[in-house]
Amino acid sequence: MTATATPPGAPLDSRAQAAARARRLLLGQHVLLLIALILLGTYFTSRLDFFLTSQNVLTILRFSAVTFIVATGFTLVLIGGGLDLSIGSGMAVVGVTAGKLFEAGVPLVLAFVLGVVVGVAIGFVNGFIVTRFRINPLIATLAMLFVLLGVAFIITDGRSTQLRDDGFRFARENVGGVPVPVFFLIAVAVLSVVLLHTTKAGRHLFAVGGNPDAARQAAMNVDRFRLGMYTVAGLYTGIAGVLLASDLGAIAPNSARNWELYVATAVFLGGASLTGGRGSVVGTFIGVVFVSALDNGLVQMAVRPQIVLIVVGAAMILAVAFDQRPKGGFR
Amino acid sequence: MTAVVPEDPTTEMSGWPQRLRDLVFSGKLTWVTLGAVIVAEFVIFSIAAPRFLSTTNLLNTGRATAVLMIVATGATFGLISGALDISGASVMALSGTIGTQIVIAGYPASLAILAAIASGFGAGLVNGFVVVKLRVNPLVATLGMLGIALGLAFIVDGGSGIAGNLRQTTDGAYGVMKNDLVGIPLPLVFAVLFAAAGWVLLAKTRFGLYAYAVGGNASAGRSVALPVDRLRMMYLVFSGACAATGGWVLSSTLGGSGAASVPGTLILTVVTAVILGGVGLMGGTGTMGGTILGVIVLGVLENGMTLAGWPTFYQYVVEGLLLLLAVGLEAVRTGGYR
Amino acid sequence: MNEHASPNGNGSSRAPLLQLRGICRSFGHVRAVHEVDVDLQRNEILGIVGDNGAGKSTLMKIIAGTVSPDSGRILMNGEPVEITTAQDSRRLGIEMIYQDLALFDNLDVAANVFIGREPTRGLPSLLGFLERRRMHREAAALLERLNIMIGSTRLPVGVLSGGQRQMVAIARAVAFEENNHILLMDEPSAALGATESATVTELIRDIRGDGLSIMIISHRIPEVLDLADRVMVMKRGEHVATLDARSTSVEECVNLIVAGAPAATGQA
Ligand SMILES: Nc1ncnc2c1ncn2[C@@H]1O[C@H](COP(=O)(O)OP(=O)(O)O)[C@@H](O)[C@H]1O
Ligand SMILES: [Mg+2]
Repeated sequence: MTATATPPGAPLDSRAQAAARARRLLLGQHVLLLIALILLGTYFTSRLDFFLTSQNVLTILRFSAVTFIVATGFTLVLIGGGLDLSIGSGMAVVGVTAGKLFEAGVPLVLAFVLGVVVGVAIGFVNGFIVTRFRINPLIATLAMLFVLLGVAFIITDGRSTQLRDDGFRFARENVGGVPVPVFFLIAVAVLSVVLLHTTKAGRHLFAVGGNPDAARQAAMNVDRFRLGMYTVAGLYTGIAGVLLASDLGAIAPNSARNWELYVATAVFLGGASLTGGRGSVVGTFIGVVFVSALDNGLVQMAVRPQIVLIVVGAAMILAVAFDQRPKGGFR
Repeated sequence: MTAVVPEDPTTEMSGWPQRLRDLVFSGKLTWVTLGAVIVAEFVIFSIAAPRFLSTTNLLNTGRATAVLMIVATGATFGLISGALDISGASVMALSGTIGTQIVIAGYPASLAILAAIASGFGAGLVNGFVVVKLRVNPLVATLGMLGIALGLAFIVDGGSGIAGNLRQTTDGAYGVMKNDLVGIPLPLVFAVLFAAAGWVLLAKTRFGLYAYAVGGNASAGRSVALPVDRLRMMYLVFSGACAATGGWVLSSTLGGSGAASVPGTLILTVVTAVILGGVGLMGGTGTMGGTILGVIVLGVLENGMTLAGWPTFYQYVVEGLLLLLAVGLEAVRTGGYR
Repeated sequence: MNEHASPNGNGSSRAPLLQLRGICRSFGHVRAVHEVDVDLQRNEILGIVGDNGAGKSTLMKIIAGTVSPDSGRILMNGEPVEITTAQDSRRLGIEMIYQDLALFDNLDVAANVFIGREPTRGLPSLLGFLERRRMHREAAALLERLNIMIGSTRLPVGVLSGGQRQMVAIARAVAFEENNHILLMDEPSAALGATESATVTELIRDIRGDGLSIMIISHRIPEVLDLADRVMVMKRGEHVATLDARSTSVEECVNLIVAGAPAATGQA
């Protein structure tokens, strides 16, 4: 939308300004989301005795891990003013590649590494299409969603097969009672926080997403930067895809379908915005835990999984509405 | 009196790059390209699959493409007005499921059809409310609706994803789309009429003109006192109603449907058709004629690839690449995303 | 076009056409418009000058209904009127030409001229069939009457030059002059070169002869003094003075704009 005239009805009188400041305080530090998470936890605990047991919390974290990793890549791209809808299909391609290679006798570690490399390559292709051909990332990655889904099916000839190998299924193990994916979660979270908040590249990411024109005027090569951004996001897709394949213990081309909705919900809940320049690893983490806890609690309350779909869809809309409306929102 | 001499925008530059750019810019290229693609498809598929050119197969292609045409009509209005509605496939699923379940419950078919289409109105109203009142980007709003409508569809059909009893609904008016009219599949007849009506609505009425106005410059629309919010709402409702109509036609053709009867990939096909047809991603441009050609390209492609024995998932790849090609052309036309 | 009941009809003909009384509007801590009173007489051109951010555009948007005042009253022909939306002001015969022109680049010239008021046939309102041929015919006649040279009314506005765009916006504002009484113009020549801007000035003089009252914001003070009957000076949201355009000078205006008061000569 080209906003030209001052939008009517978007005044910032003092009361609205105070409210905006309050909102920034709450949302900016994720206090509101945390309160929602606590309320949700309290509700589930009151209905399910075992909800807050360490066992169940670890289960929630375990299921959060893969989502969190791919959601963090998604967040980086959003902060940089891009969008990547191909994550689910990308993870599928990564997973089936690793699985097929392993099945064909490639050593386990090499198979996983090659899977991650495929993820990086996918990210590079996304970035290349967006920056070189100047295609809107929404459509570019929507197209990639289907291209990659097709590729995943072609690699597997449309079939899912089990891989009963303990090595391949390392993500199902526990170390010291803690599920392996949780370690990945922690490692990725720490590295991402460092990347985003302490490095120059991290600062540039916010600049490029918040105001690409200003970044260009400051002599930044925005295109090259974005190419790198998508490639790094591909690394996250690669790690998440490998973990998911290991957790499933199968070569499953449709393993990550419709993940986009869950991931987008978590990330928007965590305060990132479609318009770029905003988002954080911590926010995304809380968002992911929120969605996973919601899923976990509802399923354990024997609510049909379809209702989760409805709740998640509505939660995403509300998260974006609450976040965007004070700033005028979509016009 | 001084007079401003109009600049001719086409004479500023010269040489073949400029001529090519003009051709792309004029939008004529879309039509020429799509025409050429359709011809190419016919040549390739009639060689790859001898049965392709038979009347029966062409009518079958028409039957199979009818739903896409109907949903794409709504999406064209939505996108021209500036809203990419990606909830279509889920709304179709919801509509077909509601219609089917009402027939199974023993109510008259007319009620079932009405309720099915009303569900699309409902979904469109919610989308419109979220966009206009909550000021959420239409992409996010309809992505949310994609989850909500699909979830509702599963709830309505009892979670099975398929219709409870397909055979019960094969009779009666609900399943009318299984029939032919003087040898032509009824869905094809219906879709042709539907697209023609869409064409007239878009090109000849205020409703159509305002879609371009709102999509082209919403803030100017407010300045000249167009009811921008109400209009945006209407185009989303129209889009939802079209998707629901498509959902009913599919359900009727199948003789009843459930939440899983509509492939989620259908939305890719819809978006690809509309953008192939020249509707700009940022709103304000496009025609029904272009969308119709886009739909034909994809309908023929799916049929031809199936006849040639290529599995469905190859179609995902080809369609995805086609979509990239289509937006690539648009990017040339508009300078592209920055 | 059909005759509408004119607001001139029954109001007292002695009261000014438009009166603003005590208009205030703040954006957060910024007092964009503060306690402004203005009268606009029939068939008058009122110039508005002032620094950037003085509140000129905001004042105009309040009259046009796209910004709502925090307080104050608006009267037409001495009668209080309610203007809360752009539709309201249009109904009262007020047209505004925005600084950004509010044109639709993707629509052709005729559609831009008629937007929101297209002649239709058949079904009512939104579903009515556009009388495109009539729109082109009437738009072409309008452009000709206003001496505006644009190759074809079928050109999309996006391909026109800055001056042509400005004139399309003016043509749109005066297209329905049977109903129009007041024309508001926000810096109509700001983005134009010298010749283009002269053409626009000429055009404004022309349409004034048609019985319109015009309020015009401009930074080009000589141009305003030349065109307007009276000049209103605004500073930091306040109406600091109104000058007779014939008896004032550019210097006096500039002093008022800068200092908010006549140049201090020998203060006690
Ligand atoms: N929509 C708005 N939101 C916030 N501040 C505004 C808005 N519109 C105008 N302002 C402020 O009000 C003041 C007056 O603006 P404006 O009327 O545009 O001045 P002018 O047209 O005289 O240059 C300026 O300080 C401007 O920043
Ligand atoms: Mg101004």
